[in-house]
Amino acid sequence: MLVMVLVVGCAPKPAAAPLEEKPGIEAPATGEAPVDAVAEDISQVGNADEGLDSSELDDVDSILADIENI
Amino acid sequence: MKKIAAILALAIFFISLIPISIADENDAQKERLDAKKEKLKEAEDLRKDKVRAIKVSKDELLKERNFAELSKERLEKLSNLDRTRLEEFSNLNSAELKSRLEKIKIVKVDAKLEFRKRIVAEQRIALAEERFNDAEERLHEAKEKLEKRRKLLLEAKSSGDEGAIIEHAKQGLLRAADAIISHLEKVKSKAQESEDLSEEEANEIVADIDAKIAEINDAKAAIEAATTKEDIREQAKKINAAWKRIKVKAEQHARNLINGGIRGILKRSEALERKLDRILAEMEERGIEVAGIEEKVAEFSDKVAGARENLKQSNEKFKEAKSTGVDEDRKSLLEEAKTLAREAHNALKEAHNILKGIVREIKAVYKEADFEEEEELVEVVEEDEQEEDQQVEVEVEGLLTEEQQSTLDSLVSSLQEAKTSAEIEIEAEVEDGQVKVKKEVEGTLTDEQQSLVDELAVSLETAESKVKTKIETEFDADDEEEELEIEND
Repeated sequence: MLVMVLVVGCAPKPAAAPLEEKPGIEAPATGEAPVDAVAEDISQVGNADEGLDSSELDDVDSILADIENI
Repeated sequence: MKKIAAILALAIFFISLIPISIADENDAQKERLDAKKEKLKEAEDLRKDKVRAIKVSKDELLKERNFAELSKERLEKLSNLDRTRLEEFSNLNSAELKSRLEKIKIVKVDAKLEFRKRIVAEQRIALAEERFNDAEERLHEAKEKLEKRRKLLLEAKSSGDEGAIIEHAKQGLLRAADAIISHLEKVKSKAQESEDLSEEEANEIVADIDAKIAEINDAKAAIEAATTKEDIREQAKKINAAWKRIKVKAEQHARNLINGGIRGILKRSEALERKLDRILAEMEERGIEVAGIEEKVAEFSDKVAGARENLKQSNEKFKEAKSTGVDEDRKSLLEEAKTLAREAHNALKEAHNILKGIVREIKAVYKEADFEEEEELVEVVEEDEQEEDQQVEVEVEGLLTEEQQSTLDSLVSSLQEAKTSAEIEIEAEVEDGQVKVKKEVEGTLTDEQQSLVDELAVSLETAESKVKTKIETEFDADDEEEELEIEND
């Protein structure tokens, strides 16, 4: 039992994988207001583009066509 | 007793192993620490090695042979340009260079606005965001109910239950109307909070959306009153036609909002490049050098230039989409405008990831770098951007036949060729199967233009649903004189 505890407790921990900036993933903020503000604007415009996409109403098109033909 | 002694001896043996194990681990840790220190030292050496001569290549570009003969005013224009445009201009011959510079205006920008078209109070923004979220929730609910009604309607149809068919079709139409209204409310909230639209532009969008919501609410009242299958079918046709027209308009409002937002980001990114120029110049003065920084700034500038080109093309496609009433053309043009705007947005995202790296590298060697220092904000405006904003505005709501579109295009061409400033509105309303056509003209038209207006108005008398065409042209009286002056310059 004691041997087990010692083996597990003293086993060297695997080294943490280095942080890498992956392509396409947004880099963290810089702490410089004018730069970070633009990054924030970029994110907001991206969200608005998704949020206002009329494709969210595609099923309305199909049900209206169904009801036209009842 | 012997057993206890044996256990104790074993325990002592194992416990005695602990310090050995810890000592081993300490040795391993020490080795890892040494390795880390070594790596840090290598990194530090590399960083020191990187601190070499910064080439403020913008200055170098400005010293290009090509630019040597330019007047002070033109050099001033050049100094406000980004690297990508400077590079492009440095390859032009003298005449081309002068002509391009003539088309460029450096406009001072209100520092408070920072390239925004207005300032919206935080409270108003918060309220608009709350409305957006509420509308999104209502849209979600309406869509869920709509799906349930669709299933019930199918069941009623297969069982032949006429009463249930009428009820579920009616409820389905009402929920479809609710979903449309919620979507319009979402667009309206975004217009209300957008600082990239002027007050006038935002008000126009809000007024138009309110009119569309009122139209759908009227349709809802008619649906509520429907009692027979025929009534329901008729209301479904009406609301379907209205939705097709309104959907296009809502997409156009959304495009206005998104492209306006991208334009703002683009202008602020251009200003950030000028900020970088100032900081790089300060670093040069202080003898602080970062190897490779110039390439990264050039890469940032290139991405921003790519976004500028994509946005320009998107705006052109969007303008074409607004000016056509031919359904297929409009759909494909709007799709192209959307794709190009997304490409512009992605390019700006990439540009900013590069910029963040540049800022970190600068801050590592020049801690005093002040990115918040206020400087004079200027906007570089090229002539075609001004033309886009000013001279001809055509909008079609509803559907036109190819022939009607061709008449409209001829009218617009004639107004452009003759430089006729005018406002023309032709609207066809369909009520109880009757088509009423209204036309309003402000400005003095030529006989040819008047005859095209009449031709279009007559052709709209056969419209199956609402159609509205609006043309606004504005030409300065001295436009031709200005052109001549440029040619003689």
